[in-house]
Amino acid sequence: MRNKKKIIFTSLVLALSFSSVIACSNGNEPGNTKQPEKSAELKIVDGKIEPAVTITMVRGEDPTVKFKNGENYMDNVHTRWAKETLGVELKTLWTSASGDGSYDTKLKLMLSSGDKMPDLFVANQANTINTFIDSGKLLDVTEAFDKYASDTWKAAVNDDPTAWYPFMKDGKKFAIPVLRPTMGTQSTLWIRQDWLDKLNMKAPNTLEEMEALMDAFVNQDPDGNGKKDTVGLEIAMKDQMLGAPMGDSSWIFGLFGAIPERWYPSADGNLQYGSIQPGVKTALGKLNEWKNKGFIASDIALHDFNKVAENVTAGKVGMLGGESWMMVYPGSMLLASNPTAIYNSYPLPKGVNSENMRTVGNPYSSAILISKDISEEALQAFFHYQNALYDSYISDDPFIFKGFQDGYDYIIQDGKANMDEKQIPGGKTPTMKYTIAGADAVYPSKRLEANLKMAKGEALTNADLAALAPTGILGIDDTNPLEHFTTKAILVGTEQTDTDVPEYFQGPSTKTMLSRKELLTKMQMDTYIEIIYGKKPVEEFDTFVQKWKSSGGDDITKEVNEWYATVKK
Amino acid sequence: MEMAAKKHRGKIVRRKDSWQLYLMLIPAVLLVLIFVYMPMGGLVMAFQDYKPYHGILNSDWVGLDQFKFLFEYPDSVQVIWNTLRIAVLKMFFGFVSTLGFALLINEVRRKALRSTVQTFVFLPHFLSWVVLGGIFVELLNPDTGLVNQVLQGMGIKPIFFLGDNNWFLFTVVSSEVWKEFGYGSIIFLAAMAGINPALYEAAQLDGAGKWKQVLHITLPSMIPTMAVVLTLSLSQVLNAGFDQIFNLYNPLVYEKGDIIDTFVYRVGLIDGNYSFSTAVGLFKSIVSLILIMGAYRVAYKVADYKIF
Repeated sequence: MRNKKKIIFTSLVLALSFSSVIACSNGNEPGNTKQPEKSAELKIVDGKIEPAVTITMVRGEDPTVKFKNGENYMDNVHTRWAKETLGVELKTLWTSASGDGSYDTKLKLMLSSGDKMPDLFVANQANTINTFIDSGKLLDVTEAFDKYASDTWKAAVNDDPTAWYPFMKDGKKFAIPVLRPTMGTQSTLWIRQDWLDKLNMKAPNTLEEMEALMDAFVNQDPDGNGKKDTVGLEIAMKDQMLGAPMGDSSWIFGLFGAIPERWYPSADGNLQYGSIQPGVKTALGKLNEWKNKGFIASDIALHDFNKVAENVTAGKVGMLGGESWMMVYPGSMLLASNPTAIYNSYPLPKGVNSENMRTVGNPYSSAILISKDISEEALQAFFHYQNALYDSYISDDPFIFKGFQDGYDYIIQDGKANMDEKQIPGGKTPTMKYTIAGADAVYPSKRLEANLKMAKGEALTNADLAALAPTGILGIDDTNPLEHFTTKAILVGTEQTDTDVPEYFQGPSTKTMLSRKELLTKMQMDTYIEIIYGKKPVEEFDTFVQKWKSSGGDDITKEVNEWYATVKK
Repeated sequence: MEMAAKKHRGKIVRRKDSWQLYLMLIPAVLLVLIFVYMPMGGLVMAFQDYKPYHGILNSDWVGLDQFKFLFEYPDSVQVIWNTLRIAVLKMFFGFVSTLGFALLINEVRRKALRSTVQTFVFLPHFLSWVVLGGIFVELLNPDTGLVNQVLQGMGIKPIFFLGDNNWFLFTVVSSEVWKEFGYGSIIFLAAMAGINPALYEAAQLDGAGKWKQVLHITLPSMIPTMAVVLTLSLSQVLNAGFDQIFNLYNPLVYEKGDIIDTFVYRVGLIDGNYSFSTAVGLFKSIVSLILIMGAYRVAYKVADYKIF
């Protein structure tokens, strides 16, 4: 018995000493931070840096990226182009799958083990980005961006300067946003066109018309199978109200003048939380009424994005709010089983006080984080590279990136780009995903202009085509008819941009959020769903608001506005 | 016999020329040290405000703050209680059904029938709850689900199985039992196969029927196995099954369906809070350890059976 205890004790001591050995190697290496030499000037001949400068990076593997000809992230047509044309050698140290979170884990391990950071890398998880910003290992890019970014790139970011907000700390910028087009992220009203035609009805302009249409979709057997198995309106609301790209609920609450789970300015200019606004109360009352009438599914509390997609595919859904790519997914899956089943996008019906609201996506998709140990040459080389990608917007050469796109995104036939998957040897592989940012260089307003022209069927100039060049899609791709639905939905969406409500709070989670947000969200979902299901009267909403405020909500509001004051100018 | 074995074993240990045997043990001991004991050092995170860029050595110590947060959180009592309730119900019905099934299938003499049935009841064990979750949501739909259509056919009003707190409990427990009872019965069947047939023959001669045989031979012979199974399952008392609950629960059933793991998941969603999840993990391990030790004592006292 005694011996046993001794053995246990010894092994525990051993275990602890092992772990402290490991932990020791975590220590920082002081005195090892070199200052970038400020004087370096790069020699640039015909847009090419001589001799070539190397940028080291790590990257997350995008599950949608494709390679051919034996290429990979380390060595592909794009990296060769960057080296030969720009004199920028992109050296990828390692890659890791981003879909399952292992890329972010690896990034954080890199941080905690004290490994040398690469010159730069892209991250898209707020939590990861904030961890790096707090670590003090990132370069304050404010000055570098001012100094080296081209006017075009600067103008592109200036389309919506709030893209900087999530990456700012104490007024300094610690990462460069990777821009994305926000047009198309708003909900339009998608309606089953074949049902609409069959029932001889029209797209609704008002709430009353919308209710009449829902009634018809539910009670007049639009799918003609003799069963009452269709729903008028599909909404994703499991666990939270916002966040599903299909089955969005924001516009429904927006009909009544509020958007839950979103921070936006009130009349006095301060940020307020949408979940506790009186408009939500009216909306919940209405949803309860719709639930009782069977306009929405009886198990709506269980519907998340996947369930919405499933129900659309099963041909049960009459209407839903969704982003512009609705017909690509899940619409195409429905089409596969029912070739006449088409959803068309329509403007939102007018809200109760003739006012509408809906969410719009963030103007960034991820961010480029730069190590503070990056050499001045590599820093300049990065801007040289990125500026070159943005040059498409001041060019009128649609084939400006032919060097890495020809034979991958398209092939050139008779001076025109052929984007047909079947015509490209080895299949179509989008090269924009090989870039540092892992996405096309976006200038939102210019891109929108070109997209709208396409949607309206107007002739595209060479300058328009050049604005599309980073995507590798040069003009309307007739080989993929579903894309028409997407561009048309963007057009429909742009007609109501005055209703768009972006997320105004872009800071890191506040202190009270960390300790109370889960509680408040649970309280909210509990109240909302029970009101919708009629388990509690709609007056319960007022009790919820009081409880929300006293359980930390008021503190969070204060903290959010403190943050807002630091970015609002 | 047993005494002799003990003596013999003691002899080997003391023999001086057995150092080669110890040498061969080293790789295994090292593996255990490196992959089992060393990571345990990470448990100190539960007492820190861990930040990846500070590492374990330099993160701030916060003492028991993470545990305080867990126990002072307004919902935590409810969540812990829910977890216990679901886990104990699953344990009880799981045990009864596996044992019952094993006893029944053991009496089936036709081999083909027996193995077919066994294969079919095994199968659900290999399905993931992500898949099953979707199937159950569809099957249990209050309007169009198969189950409710059958109920309606029998004149019973439709039941919203996943939207009512008590029915949710029922659904969660019974679906888990359905999924696992076949797989769980393996160990009992193995124990039954090991019972000396002479005992049954003797009982038959004495005029004992099937029921008496089960009662006086099969069950008593299996007490050690049952003790092991029960003791080990106690370690799961704070695991109510994240995969299953997460795929089936919704705000309507938070009151009885929200468990520790789903709660930690939602807290974790807000920010990667390593220290908090470590603290919860440690808490769960300690409770399991105490329960296992307690159960082991009881098993030893009552059944006179040593597991370890």
